[in-house]
Amino acid sequence: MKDDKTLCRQLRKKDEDALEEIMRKYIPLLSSLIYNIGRGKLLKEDMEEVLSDTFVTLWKNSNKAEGETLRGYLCCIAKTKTFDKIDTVHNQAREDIEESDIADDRSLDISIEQSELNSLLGKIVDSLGPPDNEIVIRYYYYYQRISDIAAVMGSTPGNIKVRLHRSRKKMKKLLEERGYDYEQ
Amino acid sequence: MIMSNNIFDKMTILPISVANLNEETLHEDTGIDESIIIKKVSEKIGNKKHNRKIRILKRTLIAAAVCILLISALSLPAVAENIYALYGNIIGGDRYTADFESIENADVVFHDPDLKLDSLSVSGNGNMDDLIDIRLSKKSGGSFTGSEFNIIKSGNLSARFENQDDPDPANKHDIEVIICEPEDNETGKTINGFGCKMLYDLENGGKTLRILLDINAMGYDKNGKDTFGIGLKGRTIKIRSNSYQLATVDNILDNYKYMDEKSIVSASELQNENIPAFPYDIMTNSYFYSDIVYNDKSFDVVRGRIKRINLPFEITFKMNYQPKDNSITVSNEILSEVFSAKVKNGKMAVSPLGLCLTAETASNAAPPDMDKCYITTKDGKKYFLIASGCEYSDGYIIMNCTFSSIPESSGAIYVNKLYLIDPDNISEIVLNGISVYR
Repeated sequence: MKDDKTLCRQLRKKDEDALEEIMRKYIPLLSSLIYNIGRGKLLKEDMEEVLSDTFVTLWKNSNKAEGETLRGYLCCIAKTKTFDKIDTVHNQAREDIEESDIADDRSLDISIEQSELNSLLGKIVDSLGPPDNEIVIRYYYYYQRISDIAAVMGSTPGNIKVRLHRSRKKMKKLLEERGYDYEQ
Repeated sequence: MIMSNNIFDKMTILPISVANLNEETLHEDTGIDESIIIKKVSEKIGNKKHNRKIRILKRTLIAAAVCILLISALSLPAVAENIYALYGNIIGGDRYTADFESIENADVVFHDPDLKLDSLSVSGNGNMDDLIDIRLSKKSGGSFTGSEFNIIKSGNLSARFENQDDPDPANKHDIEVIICEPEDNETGKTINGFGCKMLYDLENGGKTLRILLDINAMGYDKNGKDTFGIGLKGRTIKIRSNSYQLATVDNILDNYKYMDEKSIVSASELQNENIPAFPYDIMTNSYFYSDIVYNDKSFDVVRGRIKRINLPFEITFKMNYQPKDNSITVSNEILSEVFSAKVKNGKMAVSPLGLCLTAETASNAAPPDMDKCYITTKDGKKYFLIASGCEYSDGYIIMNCTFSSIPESSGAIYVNKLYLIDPDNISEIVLNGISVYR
């Protein structure tokens, strides 16, 4: 299997084979992510729609695809689209006219501020150390359920909850110290 | 609007300490089908590659159709004369295919305003006994002119083609779709015996190409019903499975994709000098193996029609269910040549032997000495040969043999070639008291 860097390079040249390879590589991860977020809120068909839209968005924005960030980039799109879909399904007011395009822009709009925050978050998570760093990422980034995290990490849900609580407090403090008003 | 306020949502690079998180531990059983997603995405982005493939396929099919028609015109002068004439009128057109819920009640008129029809095929999933073969022929003066096809028995479905834009009656063509049952070429009797056999004459440059499809009656399902049938529809091979659904050559090709190359049985040499009197240039046996194998170098298939036949060829059909009896296929070549045709997925190991044997013996040979013909499996069990049926053909006996744990009868079997499908299960094969495979 080709590495992400190669695939992104081919993708930028509108190589459909590269897109297919990316899909095969990331569908398991992204479908899990979408499932974790949309569980109980979306039908399977909705999730499939979100997943396919994620790759369509990648295709449309292939010029922005970079090997180093491809996975995160896809996760980012998938999350945004999942929340959009939940929003749509639940018939909440929505002023957007062209859903997909705007959603695409929004999902890809990584501002400088966001970029700085991401960098800071990375450092903060790293500072938590194992296993808290992994628990945080599993829970907040991949939306994995506490019971699943406990099972994978050989712990108990109660223990995971406690660790998450402590990590949240620690992260909040660190963020606030750097001028971020973080609300859970 | 529901929006996540999760500050991690726009993080595109994971923190270094968790960057190598094992993704598999994140995977959920979502039930989402990867192929559906890929298809959806392809549709949404307007898959050019796919479209290009369709264009190429379209061109190929058109070219192939023209080739078929030209070949038909050149090589089928006698038997297919009327068909050939028909092709002459309808060359270059579209393919018409009709599917009927019940072939018995089918009454359909194909209308081709431009009289450009290159072929018409009719298939159905109704009473398969009536669907052994369907042929088109041109109707003339109220009688069939395509009756040279020796399998024709009845015609109860008709199709009419006419050019509405052309008032000239000469340009009107009645075409009869004939539903046939198999008949013996020489005796005119419907063949039963150990299965349904069909003989076809496809004149090829004056040389008759006869194809025997041996639909083996040993292909029982667990209820004891004969579940397998093969029909050769003109030059289109159709397979009936135990569910009585038609499968086309396309399905064979699909199945073939999953076969190990080693599992392709080599082309038989039925036309070699050793068997000058053998009446069939091609013999195709169907047995109950677990998949379908054919020698793809022997013929080309375009959309269910055989474009070219290179002789000789052999097709071995394999079935998905466990045979009632254990048997091995023996063809008419040198016994010392033991061919292994092992199926990739291992489905062959359906019984202690998992095999079927067809032995061809000389007609003057004594019946096989059954208690001297046996197979020993690796677990030490012996399986003795029993003949389940035989057919005399021009100096040869085509014999279907099975092996049983009880010896029967006596005589000598004369075998030339042995195909072993799953030799791993067999420690020894003894024929006529001689160990031929160990």
